[in-house]
Amino acid sequence: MIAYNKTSLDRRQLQTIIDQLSANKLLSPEEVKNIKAAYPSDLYSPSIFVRIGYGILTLIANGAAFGIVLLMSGGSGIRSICFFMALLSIGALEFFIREKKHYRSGVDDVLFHLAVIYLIAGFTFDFSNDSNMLITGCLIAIGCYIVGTIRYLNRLAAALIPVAAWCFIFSLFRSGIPIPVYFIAAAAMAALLLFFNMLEKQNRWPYHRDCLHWATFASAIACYASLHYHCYQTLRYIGYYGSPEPGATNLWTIFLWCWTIVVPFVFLGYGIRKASISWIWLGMVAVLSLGYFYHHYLSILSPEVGAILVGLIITCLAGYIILYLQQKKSKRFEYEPGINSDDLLIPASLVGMIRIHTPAADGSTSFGGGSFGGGGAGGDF
Amino acid sequence: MKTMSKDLFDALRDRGFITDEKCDAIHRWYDHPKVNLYLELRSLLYLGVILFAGGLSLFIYTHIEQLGHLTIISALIALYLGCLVWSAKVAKPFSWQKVESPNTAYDYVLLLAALLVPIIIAYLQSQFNFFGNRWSLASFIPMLILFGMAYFFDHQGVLSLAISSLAAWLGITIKPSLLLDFDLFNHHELIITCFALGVALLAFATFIKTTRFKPHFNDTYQQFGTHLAFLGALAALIEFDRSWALWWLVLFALGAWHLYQAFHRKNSYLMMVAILYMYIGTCYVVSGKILAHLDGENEIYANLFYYLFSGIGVGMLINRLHKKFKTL
Repeated sequence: MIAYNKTSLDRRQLQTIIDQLSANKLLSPEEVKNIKAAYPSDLYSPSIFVRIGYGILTLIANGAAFGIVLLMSGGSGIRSICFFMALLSIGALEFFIREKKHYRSGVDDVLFHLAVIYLIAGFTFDFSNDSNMLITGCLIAIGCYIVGTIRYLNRLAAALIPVAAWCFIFSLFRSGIPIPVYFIAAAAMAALLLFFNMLEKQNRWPYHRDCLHWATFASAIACYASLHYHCYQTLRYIGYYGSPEPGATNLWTIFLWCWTIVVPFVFLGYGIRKASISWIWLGMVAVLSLGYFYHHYLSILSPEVGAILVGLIITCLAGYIILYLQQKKSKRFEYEPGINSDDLLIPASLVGMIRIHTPAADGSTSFGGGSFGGGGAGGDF
Repeated sequence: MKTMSKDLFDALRDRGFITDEKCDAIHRWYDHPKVNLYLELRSLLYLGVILFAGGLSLFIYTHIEQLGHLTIISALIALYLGCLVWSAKVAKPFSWQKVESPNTAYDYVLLLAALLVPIIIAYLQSQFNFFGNRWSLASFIPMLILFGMAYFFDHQGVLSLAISSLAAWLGITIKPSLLLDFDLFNHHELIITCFALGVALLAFATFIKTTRFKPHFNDTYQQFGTHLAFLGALAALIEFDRSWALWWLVLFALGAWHLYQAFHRKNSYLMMVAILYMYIGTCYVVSGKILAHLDGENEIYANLFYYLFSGIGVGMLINRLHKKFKTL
């Protein structure tokens, strides 16, 4: 089911844990070197800059290939060309994973998402009705992103599952969106949030934990957006072929504003209660976004006065928290240079791998996808 | 999760990778995990200072008439001096080597003071015509103050502002009409200045690394130098029709130097930057100078095949170079 070799994934996870311990000065460079040498990972996961470079080059090469095929066909049969390019991209993706051991290298990310775009374009190319095109596109996207999450462990694909589902719900209404639909969308996203969160906590999908984490946060954002005042204002005027819904009643507007203002603080509070850095980030960004929406719709103060006041409040608040944390009064939070342990995951198979002594791979051994090397059956088995 | 972490580190200890003491320390760390808010709080502080300084400049711009010039300039100078005096009071003694920041607030108070410098100078110039028509002086003074602050207080953020001021001063000095013209890369003098400043900064970065005068500032100079030199060379390649081949060579020479530095310092960022800038330049030469002579459909086909194979080829080159990093 997973395109990657599980032993390789375990080893990579071990290296991540070791790096985090090293950053927190719990392991010496010598110990880190010894562990990494004994359990090397053959997966190729370069730094973010190299990933961006690979991504750009993959996009250029793939776009050029599409252009060549399109020109050769004389511009006819675009649908078939899209399907062909989707197959070509998936074929290339499988090749890079199996033969070149690329894992979150930029090449695999871009190839997967290009394949999804080609598939959606292929299926919806000659739709005359925009609404049907959107509905079909969303459904195909949901299917593709589920596959991308399960097989390719693609975190962005996982985050796009709730986003595509959210778009699907709103795309069903062609002539204006009735108010209950906003609630239905929020409820659906809340259900997805609970579902992904449950899967994440169960620890039965250790290799998909990152993806589930991203999907949980995307669901939370989509749930918040469903009843956000700005989304309501935007969506009611992008009615599908219909006139916009009549203006909002006072009660509805008050409810939307309450939701818009309260939920970011709920995220932040939940993050602090659970001591989860990801929820704290989400809460922080959502709270800060309130400044923009407040200025956009309700602004009483001028932008410059608002910026000065918000700047002062943020600075004072952050300063106070720093002073508090530096006194070591908190049992759950600290303010020290270092790396967080928020997302550390230790799969059972990783412990098993170390308990059963596995010698370091030499040049002749190829883990995962090779003929044989401790990574399960080889490709030619 | 805790059981699993205990098992993992016990297994590593049993295999002799870590000592008993280390294993116990790791267990204690896992049993009582603390969430570190270092990055989050520093980001908030940074955002707060930027919002405050930005809001303040906008406030002055929009309320000049109501507040009166003297009130505004006095308040600004008082705030600047307040920040400066406080920073000088808490700062550790000056040294030509790296000086650690005494506390978190210090970094941001200094940053606020540095952001106030151009605001004060611009205000003095626009309202009091302080420097007359000598616009270059109006950009030279803040540059000097910022460089002084960066070196005295050992602050790399202020150094970045100082280098930006240096670029602005050079630009205004070389081409005063720049103040009214935003189409920067149409001016040949500016392109040469941009390239020369980039190369000078790179040379200075290399030089200070070997001296005892704030050698840790090397990275900041290098960052600015790299991008200014590459952007200047790319702009020259595109703008200078007669000498494009020379500028292409210059671009490759810069790229080669950066690749050498990247391998020397095991820095994959420098490697990527060098390769991508060289690739952009080469794409311009191939598409704009060589394949442009073909006609109609042939040109399109040739370009598409070029981008297909060059994309794959450069990707393979990055792969090979990046893997070499690990063997160094």
